Amino acid sequence: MKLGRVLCSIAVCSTMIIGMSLNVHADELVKGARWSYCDVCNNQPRCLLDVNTDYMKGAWAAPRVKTLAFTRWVATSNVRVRDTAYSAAKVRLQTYNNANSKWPYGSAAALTCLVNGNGKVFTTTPSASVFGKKITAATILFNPAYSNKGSDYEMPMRKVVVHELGHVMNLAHPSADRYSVMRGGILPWNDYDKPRAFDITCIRQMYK
Amino acid sequence: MKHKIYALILAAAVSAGMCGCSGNKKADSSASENRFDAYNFSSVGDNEYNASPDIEAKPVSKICSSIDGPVYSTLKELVDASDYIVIGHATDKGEVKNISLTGEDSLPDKTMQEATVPLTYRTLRVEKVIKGSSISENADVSFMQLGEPEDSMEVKLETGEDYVIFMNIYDDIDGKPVYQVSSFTDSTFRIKEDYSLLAGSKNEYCARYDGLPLSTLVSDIEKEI
Repeated sequence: MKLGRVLCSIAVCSTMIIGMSLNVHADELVKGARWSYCDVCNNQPRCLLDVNTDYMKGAWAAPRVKTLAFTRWVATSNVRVRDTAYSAAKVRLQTYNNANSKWPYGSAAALTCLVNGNGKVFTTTPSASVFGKKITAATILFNPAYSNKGSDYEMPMRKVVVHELGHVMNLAHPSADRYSVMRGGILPWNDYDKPRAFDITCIRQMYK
Repeated sequence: MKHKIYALILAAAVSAGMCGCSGNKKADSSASENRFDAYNFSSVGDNEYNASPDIEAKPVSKICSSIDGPVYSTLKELVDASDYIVIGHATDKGEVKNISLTGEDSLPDKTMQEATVPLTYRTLRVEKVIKGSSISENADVSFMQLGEPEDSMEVKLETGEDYVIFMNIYDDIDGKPVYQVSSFTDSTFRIKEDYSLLAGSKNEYCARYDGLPLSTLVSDIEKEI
């Protein structure tokens, strides 16, 4: 089995505890650049982020992976990430396909790359978000080695897509004990492929 | 398989040079002084970036990045994820080859499209094979590390120092395999002169071998194969 099983620390927090800690710690996810309203919202009351998914291939493009991942964010945040075939969309999701190199990022499942307003390219950061004036473009690269995976992998792959979409909005990895879809590690086989209260609060703070 | 618990999220510490195309890549100088601490994500101080999207960013001297992938919590998981486990050392600092970050030539954003990522190709002298049938002892093989020789994108093997290395085949060039670590965080254990170990990772299942003899790790690996 190539995929590593990992983590199972279950942080069961009451809503009250989560709520109390959010005020203190939300900053750990929300510093740094974000998508400019004028770029993504088109004067809509909610931020609208068009994402071109035409380049997702194989299992990454499966409805129970890609499509469901998008619904996870649409339903829970005030940034609407829209799955589109719009070729000029500033966000591109693609299965890595480089004629000159195989996937160089080891066993990594995905990599999110962001461009900020200063023209610098960043990959996602673990403890702080991408810096700069604003985010102007994003690309998520998916490991092609997972493209032929079967249905057993749908849930973890869907979680990867949800997690990477969080990075696109410039959410970083929170501390290890945070109850967040952006956290490293994972909870047991359950419904943990959705943004959690902490993630939603952070998004709402960023994109008021 | 159905009920297995997977964790795909998170892991590898990679850093600095991933700001591919900007021309502002800055190596983390501290990394070369203390490479085995390089898996600690470097932090960027509050004054080095702005919370407001409307303020121009200040220069950032050190940036950390990460790649989302599997993390392992036991030696068995790492062994299972590695087709090859060897004892060996890098004989050179290697040659750098820059490749496209995204591999795409049709991205709407020019900056993203032109971004590159450096790969360093090194020579690895294999002294002992613990796992893997198609690799020979006392042979030189090609070994790819993400980043440039002096950055901390991936913990670099110190030239001439012996390591236990968990790896897989990354590519095939002219019929010869190129190897890569199987986990950016957990795949190397340096062998000190007294044959005790220094884990390249602070993950508990790795760090517990710090100071223990090489034979202990080899024995544990062999039990898991």
